Amino acid sequence: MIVAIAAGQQPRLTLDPRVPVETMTAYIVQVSMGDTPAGTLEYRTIFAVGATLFALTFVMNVLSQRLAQGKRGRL
Amino acid sequence: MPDPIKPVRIETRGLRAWFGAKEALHGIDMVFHDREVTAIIGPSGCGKSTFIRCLNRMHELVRGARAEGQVILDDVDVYGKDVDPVLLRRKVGMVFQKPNPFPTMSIRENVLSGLRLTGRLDRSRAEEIVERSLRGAALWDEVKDQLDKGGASLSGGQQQRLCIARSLAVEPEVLLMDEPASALDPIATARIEDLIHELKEQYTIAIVTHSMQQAARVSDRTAFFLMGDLVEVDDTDNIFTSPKDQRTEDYITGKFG
Amino acid sequence: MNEATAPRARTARAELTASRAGSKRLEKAFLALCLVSVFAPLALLLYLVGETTLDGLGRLSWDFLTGYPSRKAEKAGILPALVGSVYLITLAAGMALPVGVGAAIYLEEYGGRSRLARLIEVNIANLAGVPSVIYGLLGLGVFVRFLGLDRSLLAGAATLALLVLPIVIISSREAMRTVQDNVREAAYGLGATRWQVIRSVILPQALPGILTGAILAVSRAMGETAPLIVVGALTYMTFLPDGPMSPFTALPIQIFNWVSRPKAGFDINAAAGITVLLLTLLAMNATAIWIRQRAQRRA
Repeated sequence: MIVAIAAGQQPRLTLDPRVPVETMTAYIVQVSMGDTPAGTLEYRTIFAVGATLFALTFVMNVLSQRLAQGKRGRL
Repeated sequence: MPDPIKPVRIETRGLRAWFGAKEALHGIDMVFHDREVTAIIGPSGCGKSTFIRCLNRMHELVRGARAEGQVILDDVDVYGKDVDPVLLRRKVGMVFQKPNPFPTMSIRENVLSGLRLTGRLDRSRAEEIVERSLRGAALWDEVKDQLDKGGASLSGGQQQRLCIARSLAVEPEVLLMDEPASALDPIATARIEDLIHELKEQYTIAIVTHSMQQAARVSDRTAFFLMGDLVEVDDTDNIFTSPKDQRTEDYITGKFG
Repeated sequence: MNEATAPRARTARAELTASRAGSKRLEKAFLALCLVSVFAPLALLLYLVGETTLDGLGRLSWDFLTGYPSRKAEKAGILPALVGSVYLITLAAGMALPVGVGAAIYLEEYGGRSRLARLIEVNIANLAGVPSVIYGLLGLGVFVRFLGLDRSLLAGAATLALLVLPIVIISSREAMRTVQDNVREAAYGLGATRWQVIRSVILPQALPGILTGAILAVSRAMGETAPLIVVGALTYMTFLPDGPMSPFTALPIQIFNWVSRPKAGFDINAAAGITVLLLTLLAMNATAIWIRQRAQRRA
């Protein structure tokens, strides 16, 4: 969220770290601030973005758990 | 000279115990006489602790542990279907190797904890129970002026006597002691041993110990365990002077263990 | 010293006094690096907090605390946001604490190593690492729409409760795990049932740890913005919430709102709002530490 403010709110596909971009979180927040009645395209889109974000973090969580468990198993 | 034979209080028949798939006791048949001290000796891992923990069904609290066979207490098989292990443990109390007073409770609360935990405390009798139990554990004179201090503030030996007082407060009939003095210094140990002498006037006591001298000092009868089997049980004098089994003799003469 | 031991003494002297200058220097450099990584962020944080407090101090006043938002920066206050935040965290804590501690008791004392317990455990660990905005979407889908709570305080609080639930569960379990097995055994040995052991022996001993977790959870809930915006918190509210079904706003949202306004003056309001938020969090943490120490002193 705070990152959302710091990184800017401009959707832009770039690898240049110096220009403002938009994070998934910021996008969801941005859309939510406007009026988004259930069923509209915007409403569905934030859920799609959320699902993507969840999938990404899920993979990372599982990976980190694997690592932690591997360590413990060896002790 | 051995005392006249006293009636049997506890009898085990074919008692076997497991930790997971590993069998720790291979069928123990043994009796404990009323108001006697029975010592159980043997090298580490011989099953002596497991054995007494089966007597009040503490063994089964360990994850994956179970027991089979019979433990007859006053004609009732405590492994019977309708026996509640919780009620059994109120009758057959236990003192553990490491003193384990409840750290969040004062001395007074520790003594009363057994009754309070189980919702059986009669408040009007509380003071009387505290004094009687602490006297019974030979701790009263040392702590009577600081009953509201934390139980953990006492010395190791005092803590162990507090644990004994805590066990006495629920008025058990049998006391199981699992190496009660092994974490204590010689002076504290001597006090515990004196206490055991006094307690046997009222209680049937089973004590596990790794110290043969201790067994010789406190017990009337001694059982020798080896690798999950009961090798020999007899009057303590006989065990230490003329054991019948070669393995017992080897152990008490220090050839192994 | 006789002749036979003399050579051995010489080599020993050589071995024990050899110069370690190189490795010593490396050790010092490493220590310096560690110190920098500790103190550089700390200094930066202090600077930020100091700067913000200085900026906001001028705006901090009774009027600011008891005022309503306004188009004019110097007239604006944070009362609805403050009241909303207090409502939110009270409701959220009321939901998350009993459920979280209950779940921890089940997992730690009853669940054992069953498949179900293992599955729940993995899921909780995962949930703890999920970005908060996703909880907002969950709240929007489940509480706001499906359960029909609408954009209410209750929906917001339930969302925050879900968000902090993993924290409560994990810290409570951690606290219960520190209760030694021999103390449990003592209680069982006195003829206590499992529930009696949990209630009278394990929970009192775990209480300081559970409280710490609870405060962490509440602090986290207090600072969250994204999930509340997604759930539908108002960003401009000129009345006070009047019950659990009322619309709401919260302190971080008010701050976010002010930060994103270009007009001068609002940045100062934001700084003042941040100061209030920080002070509230500080006060809450201090209370928690005080409670914990009281609980520990008894132990």
